[in-house]
Amino acid sequence: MKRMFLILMIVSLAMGIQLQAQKYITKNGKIHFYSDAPTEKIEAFNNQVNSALDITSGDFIFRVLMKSFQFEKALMQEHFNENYVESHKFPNASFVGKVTNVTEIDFQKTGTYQAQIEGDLNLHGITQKISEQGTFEVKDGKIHGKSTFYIAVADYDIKIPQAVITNIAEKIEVNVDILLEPLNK
Amino acid sequence: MKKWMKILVLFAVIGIAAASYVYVFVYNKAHPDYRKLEPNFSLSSESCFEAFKKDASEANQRFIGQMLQLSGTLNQIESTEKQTIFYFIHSEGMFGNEGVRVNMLPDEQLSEIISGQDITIKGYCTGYNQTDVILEHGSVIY
Repeated sequence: MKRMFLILMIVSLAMGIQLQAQKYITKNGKIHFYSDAPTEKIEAFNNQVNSALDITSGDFIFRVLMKSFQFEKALMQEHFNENYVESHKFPNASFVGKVTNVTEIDFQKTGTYQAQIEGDLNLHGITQKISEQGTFEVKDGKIHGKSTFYIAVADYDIKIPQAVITNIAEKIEVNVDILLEPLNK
Repeated sequence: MKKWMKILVLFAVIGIAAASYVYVFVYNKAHPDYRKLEPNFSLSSESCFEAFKKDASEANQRFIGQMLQLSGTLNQIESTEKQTIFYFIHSEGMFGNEGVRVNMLPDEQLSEIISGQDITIKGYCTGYNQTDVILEHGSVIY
């Protein structure tokens, strides 16, 4: 009986450790966007992106505060927040989706793997389905995720005044760079 | 010089001056000096966190884009390659600890600040990401 109890304890402990190790998180993810328009180049950085990945189910989320994007020019930052993404009305952007080929990635083995990511991107109060490619580099028990993709401002009902139409690209390049670590509660 | 020529030169000078003003003081205007900005609200870090947790929509309306002065016990100091982050921890959730995160100004003198001490800081509130309330451009108030 004692032996059975001991085995159950060990199994429970092992399962607990495994469950914890299934989730990888960061609060310091980086998103950089770049608008390459004929008359102006605009870029901004956000270094406090929350992201979580469940390596078993493939569930993958992002949460970003729009007002945390930092621009070189104060005027651009003002226009971005007040006129374009209306941060006062829509302070958050988020992505909720899945790594659809998660079973093809060996998170126990060092290496760089292609990831197919699909889900809902919510920005400016509009949700769009997206499907993008990225890479996961597994190393030293951490997962380094990178992806570059493009979003069309019109898809998210972001209106660009005619007077500055040549200053802002129709499609914005978005670079995501996250270093996910095991969640240890 | 003929009169029309004088008027033309005058308009050109005014035009150049106006364009220079717009370029320097509007297009290239500096970011605010956040250290010098007066706080719009003064409260405890816990009250601030609870306000967002209880009703994020109302707290967003009240606090986003405002300078907040917060007091509380500093629970964690994290240094990344570019910045120092202060954490006031008030709860726990799917991302681990939850509370108020303050991204300190890069040139802020923080060597004497230690985890566990009571502290008052101010910073620019950018919102609540369902985990932490975020303050940017933080500075310590002594």
